[in-house]
Amino acid sequence: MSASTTDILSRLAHDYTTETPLRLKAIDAYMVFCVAVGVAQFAYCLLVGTFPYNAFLAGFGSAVACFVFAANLRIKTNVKNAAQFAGTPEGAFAEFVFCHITLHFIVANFLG
Amino acid sequence: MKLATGYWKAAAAAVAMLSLGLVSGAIVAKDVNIKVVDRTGDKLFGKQLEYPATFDKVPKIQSTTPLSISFKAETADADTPLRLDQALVSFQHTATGNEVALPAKAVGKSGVFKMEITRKLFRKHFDSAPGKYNVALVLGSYTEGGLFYKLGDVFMAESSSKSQTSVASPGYGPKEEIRHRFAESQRMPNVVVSLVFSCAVVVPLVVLLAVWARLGVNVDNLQKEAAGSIAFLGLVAAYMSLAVAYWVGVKLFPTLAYALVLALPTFVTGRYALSKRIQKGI
Repeated sequence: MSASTTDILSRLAHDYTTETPLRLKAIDAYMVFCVAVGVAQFAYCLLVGTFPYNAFLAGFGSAVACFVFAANLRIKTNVKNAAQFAGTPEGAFAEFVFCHITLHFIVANFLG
Repeated sequence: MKLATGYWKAAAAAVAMLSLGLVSGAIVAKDVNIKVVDRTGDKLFGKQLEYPATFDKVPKIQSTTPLSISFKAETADADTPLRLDQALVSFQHTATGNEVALPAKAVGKSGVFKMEITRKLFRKHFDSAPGKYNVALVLGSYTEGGLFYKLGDVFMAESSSKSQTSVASPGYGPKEEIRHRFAESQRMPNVVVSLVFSCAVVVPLVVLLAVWARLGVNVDNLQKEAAGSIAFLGLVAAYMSLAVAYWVGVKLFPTLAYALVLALPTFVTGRYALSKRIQKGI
């Protein structure tokens, strides 16, 4: 059982490394970064407390929203999904930038 | 002996003005009648005074035995009825110093004023504060000056009814000291904990940059369309700076105005730069 799991994971890593385009790997690394930042903030909140609560919500919400935007960018820029989405990767990037600008104004307003 | 408070000070000021010759004449209270009657109408206490005489006996007043004080105000020299601008009967508690000032209303145009403590007034002002009170007339006229005439003492008895729904009379004496309760400061975490988690948030960024460098992520394609790309990224950076400025101190509506000003150039440069990338197949 464990050998098959190991085999699956190693096969997954190999396929990911060889078949995933560089652009998607960069986006994946960014998404892992967003998760790590969110986990760190949540761990701090659990350990120390929620004060100031609005700052925690702003920071944690920002990390979650950035992850979601990056996931959308990854879906739209993936060549394998080109049949489902009519736009171009550049258009997806423009939407990504617009969403981030809006998000950061909301976060700045909530940060206090 | 406690100094006069509230309306007593106003009367003292009027008397002072009179002494300085700022107003003419002087006020005299005549035919001062003090009566306490029973609910059946029988007179329990009655006294007629002429200024500056006082009454010695201390009548006991209850809600069922109203006190009425009537008087006539005249000028000292002209001996003519006077229209008063202020006619109050002051009751000052001898123990607490709290003062109740009840207005005396004019009866007709003959210069006679009357004040009566009805059952409602008694319950409102004296039910919750029984005891001995100094009674005085506090009269004032803008043209004729003022008069402060101490009549005597009365005893306001405690109400026999058990109801305590009456509103306490507003006291003019010193109130109890106000002790402010400020919000307790929040317990902040240890500095070491804060620094550790600050590093925990910054380290992923360093790792991300290292991973991108390892993967070979670069900005070489920017050179193929430099002007539009740099302008677009510069305007995006300006938006991020505006967000930081909004966080630091800029108000909402100026921020929105600046954002509106940046919107069109950002859209134009972004559309230009990204369309050029598509055309050049970057």
